[in-house]
Amino acid sequence: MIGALNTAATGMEAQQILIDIIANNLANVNTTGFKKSRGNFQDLLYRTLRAPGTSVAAGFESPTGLQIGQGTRAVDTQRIFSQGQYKNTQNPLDLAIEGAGFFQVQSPTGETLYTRSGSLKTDGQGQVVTGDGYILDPALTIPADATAVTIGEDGTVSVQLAGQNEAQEVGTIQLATFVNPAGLLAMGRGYYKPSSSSGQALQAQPGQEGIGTLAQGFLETSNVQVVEEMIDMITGQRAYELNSKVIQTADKMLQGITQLR
Amino acid sequence: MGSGIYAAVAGAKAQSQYLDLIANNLANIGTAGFKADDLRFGDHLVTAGRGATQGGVLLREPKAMHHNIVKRDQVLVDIIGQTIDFSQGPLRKTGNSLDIALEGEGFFRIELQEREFYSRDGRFHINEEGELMHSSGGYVLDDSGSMIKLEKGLVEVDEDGVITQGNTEVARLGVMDLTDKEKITKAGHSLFSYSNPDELPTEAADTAIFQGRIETSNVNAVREMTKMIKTHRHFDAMERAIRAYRELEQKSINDVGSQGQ
Repeated sequence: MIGALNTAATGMEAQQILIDIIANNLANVNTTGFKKSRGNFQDLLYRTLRAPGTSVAAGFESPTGLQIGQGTRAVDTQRIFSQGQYKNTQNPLDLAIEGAGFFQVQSPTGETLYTRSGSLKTDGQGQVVTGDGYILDPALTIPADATAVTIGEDGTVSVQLAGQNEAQEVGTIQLATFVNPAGLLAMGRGYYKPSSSSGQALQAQPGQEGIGTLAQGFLETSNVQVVEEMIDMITGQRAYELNSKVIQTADKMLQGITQLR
Repeated sequence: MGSGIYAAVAGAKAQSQYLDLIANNLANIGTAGFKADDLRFGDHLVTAGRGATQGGVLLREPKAMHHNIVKRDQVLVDIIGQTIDFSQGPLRKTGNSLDIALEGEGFFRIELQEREFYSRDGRFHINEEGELMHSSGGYVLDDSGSMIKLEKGLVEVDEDGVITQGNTEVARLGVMDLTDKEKITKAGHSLFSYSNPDELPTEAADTAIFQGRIETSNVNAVREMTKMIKTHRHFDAMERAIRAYRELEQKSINDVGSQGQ
């Protein structure tokens, strides 16, 4: 009886975590480069009340055992790195990655972070930075007298300077990939940090195999699918209710017992 | 003393264990690859002072007639076994290349702490070495029983479980048939263990493999709710019976005793 109460509580807790994850996904439905998370659940250990094949009477064996589970638990939140959609912005410093790569940036504390959000800007010195002012790595400077910036699929950045006919190459944008991107640590604001589970970053020029290419003038939108999240929310809510009904039933049964005397 | 009270207590105990099991099913309604449990109830005949029998097989031992006391047989309700419902869970599309669902009888081969387990949960991921991992932290094995190592880049899995990257065949997923379903026990963490000395698991013949899908829990909310209501009612009935026996006893102590005076 107490078993059912605790088991149902684990079920309610799991659904609560699921709703928290969905809420964050839906809140970021318009966040550039956002990757949705998914809650993964597992059954807990089983209490074996009777092992299969135990003798129940002379010459008689129980064909099946009796194992009662203890509920469920959240194993991990798995980030899904599926491709988001592209939004045409016409802005020359808006970049979308078509593939698995990440932009590598330096935070003000000197940490190397990774992001999918390609909404880049220039700072006072002409350095290319993210919306938070994190410097793109390797660093790239756009001259102040540049009239046009062209970024190729392979990351080559060339600028048109005022009064010159020929475009001038000023650098290349590099991308980084990970063996297991799902193992990256999310730092918030769209930044990720490598962990022992993601493996080390492998830097390469866009266009190389598996790393992806760049699309100038486009932003990658969030990969959250509203319909999917809504369905998950409905099933999550109902599952929560079902588990609360178990608690109510167990409570009523306990009440019956306590009133026996 | 009415010996029937013990039958009522045994019934109430069995029903309360049944609720524990229903609670576990409902708690795992969101666990991918989860298979619902059920219980089978049966009579448990206790022959006046002698051994018990099991599973509806009534073994009557010679009664102790020489005492010249008529002893009554007692029927207790008990759980005689557990069944796992291995019916197919609904497949859900996720679009994740490492989500793999099975349709049919087979199970994935998983190695955890040097033991082989089986699972229907196909939410795989890769570790920092590029090895294919199960959500329990175990390794996913191929058809020859070795670990699967993936390279960077796209992963494609066909209906027969052949994993290809680029144009190279990497491995073939091990999907096994566990013929004697009664020998399967649950190990938690979405794993099943199988011990059948007579027959080793063989490769599953008619199991289709789908990439980008997960098999959801096969717990049926309607069925579990109905079972829960029934359990509650049975429990109530047993509780009333216990109460009735108590009143009966009280009457015989107070009333029968007072008549004698």
